[in-house]
Amino acid sequence: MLKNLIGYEFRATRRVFLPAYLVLVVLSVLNGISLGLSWNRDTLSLPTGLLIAVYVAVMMAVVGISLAYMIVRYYRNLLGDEGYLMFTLPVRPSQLLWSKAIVSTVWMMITTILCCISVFLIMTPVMIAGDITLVQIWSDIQWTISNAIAHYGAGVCLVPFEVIIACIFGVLAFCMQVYAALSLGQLANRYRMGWSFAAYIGFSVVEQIIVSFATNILGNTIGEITYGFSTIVQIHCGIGLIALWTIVEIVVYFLISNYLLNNKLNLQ
Amino acid sequence: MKWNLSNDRPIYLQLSEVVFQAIAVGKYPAGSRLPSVRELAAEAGVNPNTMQRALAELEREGLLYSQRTAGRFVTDEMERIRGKRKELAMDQVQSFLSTMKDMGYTAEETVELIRQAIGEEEKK
Amino acid sequence: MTPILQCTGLCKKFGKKTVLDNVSFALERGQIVGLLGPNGSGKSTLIKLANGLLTPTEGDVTIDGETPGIITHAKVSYLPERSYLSNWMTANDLLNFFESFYDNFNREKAEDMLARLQIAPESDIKTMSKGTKEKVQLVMVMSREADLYLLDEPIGGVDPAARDYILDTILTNYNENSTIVLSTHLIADIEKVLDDVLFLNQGEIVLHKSVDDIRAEHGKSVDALFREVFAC
Repeated sequence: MLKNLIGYEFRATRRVFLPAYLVLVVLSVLNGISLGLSWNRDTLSLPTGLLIAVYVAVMMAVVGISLAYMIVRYYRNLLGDEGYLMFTLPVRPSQLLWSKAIVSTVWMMITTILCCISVFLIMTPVMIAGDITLVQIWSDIQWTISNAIAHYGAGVCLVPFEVIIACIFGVLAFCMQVYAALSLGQLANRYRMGWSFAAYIGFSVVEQIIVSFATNILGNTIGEITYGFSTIVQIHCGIGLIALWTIVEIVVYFLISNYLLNNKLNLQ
Repeated sequence: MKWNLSNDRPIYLQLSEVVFQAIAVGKYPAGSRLPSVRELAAEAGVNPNTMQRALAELEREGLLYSQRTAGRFVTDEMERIRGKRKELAMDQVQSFLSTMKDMGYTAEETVELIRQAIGEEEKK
Repeated sequence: MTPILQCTGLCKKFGKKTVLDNVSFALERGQIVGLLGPNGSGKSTLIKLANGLLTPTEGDVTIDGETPGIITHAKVSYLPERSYLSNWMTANDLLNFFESFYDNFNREKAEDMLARLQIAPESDIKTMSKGTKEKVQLVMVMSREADLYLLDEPIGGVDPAARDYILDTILTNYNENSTIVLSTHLIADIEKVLDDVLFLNQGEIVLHKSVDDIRAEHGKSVDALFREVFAC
């Protein structure tokens, strides 16, 4: 059933994301070409400037859509009129929650990757105009990597992957935090969005307090434990701790939403 | 069949009357198979349970009988149908007579009026 | 036998406002029951509680002995009083959706009914009129071979022709093992399709009787009795 839910969630959201992505890619290519052509000039022509402005706006819009859709899909599809259908399906509320969180996270990851690709697309014509070849860039990258390995050991190669995984957990945790706030807001009989916003702020404050306590209390201990470790192991530990914290966030916020949707659903 | 249902009497009684009328005029001849409850209910636009109850009423009076698998049939006994038909006709006549009586007509005058009415009907 | 729908001491409050007050009744299988009451009497709230869309303040509601949840959702087919269709779907998407989530969804039946309404599978839900959406929703709900149908105001706000279509659809899809509960404040139109009626007034059940018993006892239609009971 979760597979079905995820499938429908993708179909419901892709009609917004795919066109937005297409516009972003097209604008990147156009910008790249126009920047590549104006490589040797001292000032940017007006069309080139405008094109850059539009590109930046679209990039921001795409990021904005990813965030807004995460909220809209949960609020409209589960807590709005469509919720009358979704919550009477023979599926568990937890499955609804995960389907929304997974799909939102995937879109955010795609958006992030696409933004990187977009920058690359812009740079390519510029690089061609500036006589920088891919071979050069590749050798630069290789140099950087071998340098890092020489410095920190082979373990450094894992760091980018650890960062990516920690990012995925981070996005998922953010999703779950927003969902928990919205689930708490729907308990109110009026001004639900306002209450949801207040709940989100409340969660953030509580998190801040916990984090500052934890660093105060555990900070020294962790410092002592990792004192003799090499830099790279300390980096691994740091990323690991952050990932662990986001997993705790995911679990706690999931439990809050799951409890509320199971026991306190209030679709008026 | 016309399913004119009035608002003041139980629906199942009215349905059983309509079904019986159809039997009496030979729409469902003696010994023939009746449409299913579902079909009759759909035709009348009523709840199948109510139709079921109406037919059960006719069954109780011996005008219908059901065979477990084959369905429901009109009785073969013409006597019963005639008897019930007469019974219903009698009800109508009696209620008519009492209305006439209330208007001050004697029995003879009433009969005379009926003759006149029939005469006029035939001229048309 | 376990009642298909049972409420015991059911109360629901929104803030300080009591919407349902100590409601208790049980419905057996094989009936069409009218949940009747003026606007604001708690009809929708009762139906939503049975669907688990709201949670009781006190008391409980069970479907075939189970509290609302994943098991009862599979048995109950629910028509809400508003449209719950997603605008991005086509009629065909909706058929796929119902088919993939409900084991008891009879796709052929639904396709057949949509065809008779002259709704093409590829037509967008977004472009449908309000009336058409309501009919599509009813088709989907009645195409499920459910144990309990909870229809909230199925004939509210539609024209008489549509009303006949809806009642006809309900009657022809009804089977002896299922129970249909339909809420409405328009009684005259549906009286003859009902077995029993439940009168709900200001959150309380004031009457639970069969239509023909009411007619036999009071010598008047349920509609007339309703007007008397709820005279303003």
